[in-house]
Amino acid sequence: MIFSFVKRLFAFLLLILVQGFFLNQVNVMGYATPMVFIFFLLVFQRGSSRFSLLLWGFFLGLAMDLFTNTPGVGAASCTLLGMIQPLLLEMFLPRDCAEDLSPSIKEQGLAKFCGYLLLSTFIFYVVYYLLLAFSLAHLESLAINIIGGTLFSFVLMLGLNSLYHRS
Amino acid sequence: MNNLLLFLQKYYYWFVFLILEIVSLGLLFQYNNYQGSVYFTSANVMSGYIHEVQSRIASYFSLQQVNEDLTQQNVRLAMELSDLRERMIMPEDSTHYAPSVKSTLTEYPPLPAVVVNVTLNRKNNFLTINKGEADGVKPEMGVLGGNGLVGVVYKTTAHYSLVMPLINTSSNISCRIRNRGYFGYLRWNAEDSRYAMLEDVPRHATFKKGDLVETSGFSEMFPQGVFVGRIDEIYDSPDGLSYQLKVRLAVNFGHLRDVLILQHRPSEELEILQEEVDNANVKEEES
Repeated sequence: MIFSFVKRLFAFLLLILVQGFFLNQVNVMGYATPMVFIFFLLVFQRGSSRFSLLLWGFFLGLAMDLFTNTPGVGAASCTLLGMIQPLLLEMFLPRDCAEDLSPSIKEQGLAKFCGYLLLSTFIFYVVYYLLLAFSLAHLESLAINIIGGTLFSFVLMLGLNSLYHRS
Repeated sequence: MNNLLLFLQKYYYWFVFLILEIVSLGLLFQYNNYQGSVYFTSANVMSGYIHEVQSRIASYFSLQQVNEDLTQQNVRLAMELSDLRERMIMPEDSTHYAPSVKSTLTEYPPLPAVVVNVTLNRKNNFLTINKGEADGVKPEMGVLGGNGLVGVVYKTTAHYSLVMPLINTSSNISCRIRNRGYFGYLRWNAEDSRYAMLEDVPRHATFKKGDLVETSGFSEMFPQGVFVGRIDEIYDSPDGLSYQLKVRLAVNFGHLRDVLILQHRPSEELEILQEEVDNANVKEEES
């Protein structure tokens, strides 16, 4: 129990540092900024306590807000992601899977995992950017930001998945 | 009762969710007018320090660019110097008054600072610099880069400050076209971090592409004549009553590192005047 908490905390800090130090500076063609820190929430096991998902999500978002000067934006969207993560996962489960399946290519298969990752990331980006802009005035650049960011993060998180499961 | 308890047990996470979302949205909405929330930004001690370490490391990668900027700035200063020298020899008008550099410097003692964090791709961008209240920085002080105007100090903590740069949609700075004397307001339209818009330039103004834009000195934040950028395109305003000038900014916010904070000593008279105007406005609103 304590061991898994420490492990989780470690992953939390690592993702925040990588995101804050490097990925926030990446900005492909002025638009797509990858947000890989949500991977932390996406790999929560099936049947995890919803309370802990929500709390981790809230603090993950808050920590990211410190780096980007957007108090509340990250926290609100990450909390929402923590809320809907179990539902999203249920949508992309293989047949007869374990009660405590942890989301990955190995356990879900490539297609289902990709669908899960893409949909969750897309929802997160939509919420995040709508809260950030708080208007539909620049709809076009908003859409490019969301789609570019989603695809970029998706590719990075696929890489992260294989990295995570090799060891 | 039992049912209620069961219900709560099953759906308690909905309440947790709502509470956390309310807290988040509270942060989001209070940010703009709530001084305390500055601790939830990159100007707080911890993330400020992390950003500083990061910028120290990253500074080595941009040395070349910094060098180029310095050279350019040197050339410009040398040109300005020769220009000034010429004017000294042949004063056009003996009653002409030009404030000397010295008085500007004593009125606005500059404080060097280093940019530790910058965002470029948001609607409201901010810079974080490594000087704060403890160094005498206060909100509303002007900030200059090597090439020209950067922005205005927005919020301060003990050792760091947030600066609202020109590339923030809330930024609004009174500027004029050099040697032509027409004024306008410099705003940003959230598109390209290299350009800003000079708006409300009167219809009868004469100028051309490539003319220089500088601060007007109407506000106390900057002395007059601080270089801002060059006119790149000329448009009509949507209502057709004025010109909108696309200005190529002198400062490259992507490579900004060393800045100067202008610690202006506001003149008492002007402050009293401003206060009276504010009071009058409040009264008008009340009545």
